[in-house]
Amino acid sequence: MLFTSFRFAVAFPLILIIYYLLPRRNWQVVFLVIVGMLMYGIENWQFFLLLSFSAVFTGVTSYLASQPERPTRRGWLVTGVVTSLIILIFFKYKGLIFSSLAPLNFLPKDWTSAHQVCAAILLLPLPVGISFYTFHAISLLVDAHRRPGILGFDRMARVSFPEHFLKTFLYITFFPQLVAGPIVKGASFYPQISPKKWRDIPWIPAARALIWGYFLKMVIADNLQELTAPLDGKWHSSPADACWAMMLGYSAQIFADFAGYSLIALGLAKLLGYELPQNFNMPYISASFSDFWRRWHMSLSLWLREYLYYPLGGNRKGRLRTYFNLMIVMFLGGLWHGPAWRFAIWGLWHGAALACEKMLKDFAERHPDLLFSKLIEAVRTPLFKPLRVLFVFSFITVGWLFFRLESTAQVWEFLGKLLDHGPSGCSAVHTLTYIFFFMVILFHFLKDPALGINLRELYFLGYSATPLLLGMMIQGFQYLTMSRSKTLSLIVWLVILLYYALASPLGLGLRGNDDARHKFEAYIGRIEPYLLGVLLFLIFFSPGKQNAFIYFQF
Amino acid sequence: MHLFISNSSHRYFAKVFGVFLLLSWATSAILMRMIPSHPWMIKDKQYMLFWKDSVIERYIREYRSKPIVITGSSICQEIPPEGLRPTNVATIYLFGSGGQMGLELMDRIGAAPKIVLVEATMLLQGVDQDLLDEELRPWTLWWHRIFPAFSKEMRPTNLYCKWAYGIPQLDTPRPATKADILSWVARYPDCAEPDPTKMEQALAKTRHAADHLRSRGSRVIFFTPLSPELMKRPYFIKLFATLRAGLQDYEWLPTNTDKSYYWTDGIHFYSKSGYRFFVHLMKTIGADSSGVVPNLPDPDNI
Repeated sequence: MLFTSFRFAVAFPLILIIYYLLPRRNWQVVFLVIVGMLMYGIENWQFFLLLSFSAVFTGVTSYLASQPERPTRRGWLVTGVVTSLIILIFFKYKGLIFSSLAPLNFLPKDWTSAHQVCAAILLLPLPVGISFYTFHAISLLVDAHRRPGILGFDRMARVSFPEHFLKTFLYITFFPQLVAGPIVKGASFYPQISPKKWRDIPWIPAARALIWGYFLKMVIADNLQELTAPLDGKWHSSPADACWAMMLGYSAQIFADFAGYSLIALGLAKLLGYELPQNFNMPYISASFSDFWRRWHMSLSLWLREYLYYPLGGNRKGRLRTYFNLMIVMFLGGLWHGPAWRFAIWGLWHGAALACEKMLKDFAERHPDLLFSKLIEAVRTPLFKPLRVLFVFSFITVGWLFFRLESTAQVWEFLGKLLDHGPSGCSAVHTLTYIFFFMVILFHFLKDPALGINLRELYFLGYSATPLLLGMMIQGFQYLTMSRSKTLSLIVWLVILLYYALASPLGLGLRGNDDARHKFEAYIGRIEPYLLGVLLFLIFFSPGKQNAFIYFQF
Repeated sequence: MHLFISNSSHRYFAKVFGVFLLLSWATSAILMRMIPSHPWMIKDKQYMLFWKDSVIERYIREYRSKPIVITGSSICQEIPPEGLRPTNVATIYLFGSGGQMGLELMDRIGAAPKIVLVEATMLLQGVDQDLLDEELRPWTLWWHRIFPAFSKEMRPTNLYCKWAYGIPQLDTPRPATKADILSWVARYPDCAEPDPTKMEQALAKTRHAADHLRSRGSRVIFFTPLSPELMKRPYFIKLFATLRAGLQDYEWLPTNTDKSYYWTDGIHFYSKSGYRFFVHLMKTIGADSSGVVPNLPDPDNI
């Protein structure tokens, strides 16, 4: 059930009231399991059994894998992980595997018509949320085997099988995070499973997360969804200006969509008495690629690091192996997003960036006296942070094209189109795209709403992004009035460059003023409810068409 | 169970909802006050995303004062064009859908116009049921009544597009070429046939809604404004033969044979030709002489 649907808006308050009115508190877990299964089953009834199987199987295998005295516990771990992966591969990658093998003549040429069972299997749709609940299952199995204590298993206090089974069912089917995360580790979720009381609800943080989440999803992502729709193969006839708008628009859309969903999930979980991990932390102001992956889809990054990168050896097996590990982890991470090679290429795009970044850092550390190393170190100083942010953002935005367009060839064609010097074709729709893009950038002025405001970042953004925004707005105004003047553009961008040249050292000097920071923080705290009121108004005043969350398909 | 949240939370949420209500009320009041002096705010041409929704919302708001309704697909947009649309005429033009959806809308809200003209060309397009359900939900109707700013027509993206697109001109000259009539002809090759299942469903649903309207006293009339070239296509010959047979107890206007109506593409009108066709429709059904839409300006003098 979509969190932005009317049905959910009606159902959730009822769920909440019943949840807290249950006469026996330990029924709450059972109630949440039933609600999670029902919500999933109503719209995905074909895969209801698959989800149930996954939950039951994970419950059993994780229990057996957690028993320290069992000699077969490693076997249960392997069984659980392999089975989960087989299910994921079968349902998600069957099409990709068949279509990739077909040209290699491994399969008979007429295998689809000759083998109707194969064809029927290929037509099975992708179960919603399978990537997420499989990763939950794997995380639980590994943790149960490695450190049973953190799930409540140890020699002193044994958890009974029914209790663990029920908890696992809740862990897998907890509806705020069932279909699109965040990916929660069992170690942080299981200790939270306890009776919940109405008076303990953190109303303000929950409202903050929900309002920001719905704002990002309904006002920004849903509006941008339509504005970037031509990227579905209809962009070929668009002029360069329109392509720029669509590319930036998609970059903003995918952030707003997923960050919005994650915040809604966080808010709903808070109302039910659970804390889910943060998933986004202003990713588009990252000054490096590793920084980006610490801020973007944080729960996935953590999962990949803990259950893939470290087991592969991490950075402990030499430099070359580290670069290789980064590439392979990002390749698989990319493929996790979708059953198509373009997702894998997107992963490699990021893997290559991470590996290069690490390579440059290693080089500078190993040869500190070389001019090139000094140059690298100079670029890493705060003075160049705005430029690094701009570079990382541009690289990531181009990377999203692999994610969105149908093939790699289209990406190159699209990039060529961006440099096209054809006539301007920017319309009202593209100006709107820029406006929503600016809103996403403005969102980055504030620290992730569930965490509060970070003035250091705020100051940095205030000083670095304001002139940039102003410049872009002037450009937007020019599009709007159709009076595109190259001289005016040149002057605007020269002024911006001058600003950075002069204001950077000044800004860096002023940033450390603690007193001003505290005053400002208190001020922001006072205006926050009014800001949320405005956002709530915008959710009703300016939503786009209701769309499913992008990450549901993964 | 503590039913109430803490005092500090009370104050916090009072501020949140206070701002929300104040802004909602003020924006609604300002927008409604602006409309008379800024007619572009409610002009037809708008952001494609909300066009269909806006047309539906507008009809729900005004249906009691519209005894004549023309409903159909995008073909009807200019029948008649805005600016020349008499105040008692509503045009429910639904992009990507057709007359069937307009009929269902009228049926579900209990409208009883005197005359309903159904453009039958796109009857097979079906009904966007989700959209109708969304627009006719009691909560939505109530919400839009309390805060008109929350209607889709008033969304900032839509208002911005309306403003940016400019006011359409009625005296737009006829396009130099008969634009894309060949592309429409190509869409209906000789071998193309209407889908029998869709046709059966469309007939059943159309009849159901039309019967209801007739029982409320409405005169339901079917017509098509297709150009003579397109009407010769086997697809349309078969389609209209079936539709006429299935709805034979309803009035059908004769097929248009007058080539003096100018089309942009053989299927859609441009403003002036749309008005000419509208006058022709009104004359054919006797609406102008019966006084329902009197004093229509002469198409040649506008």
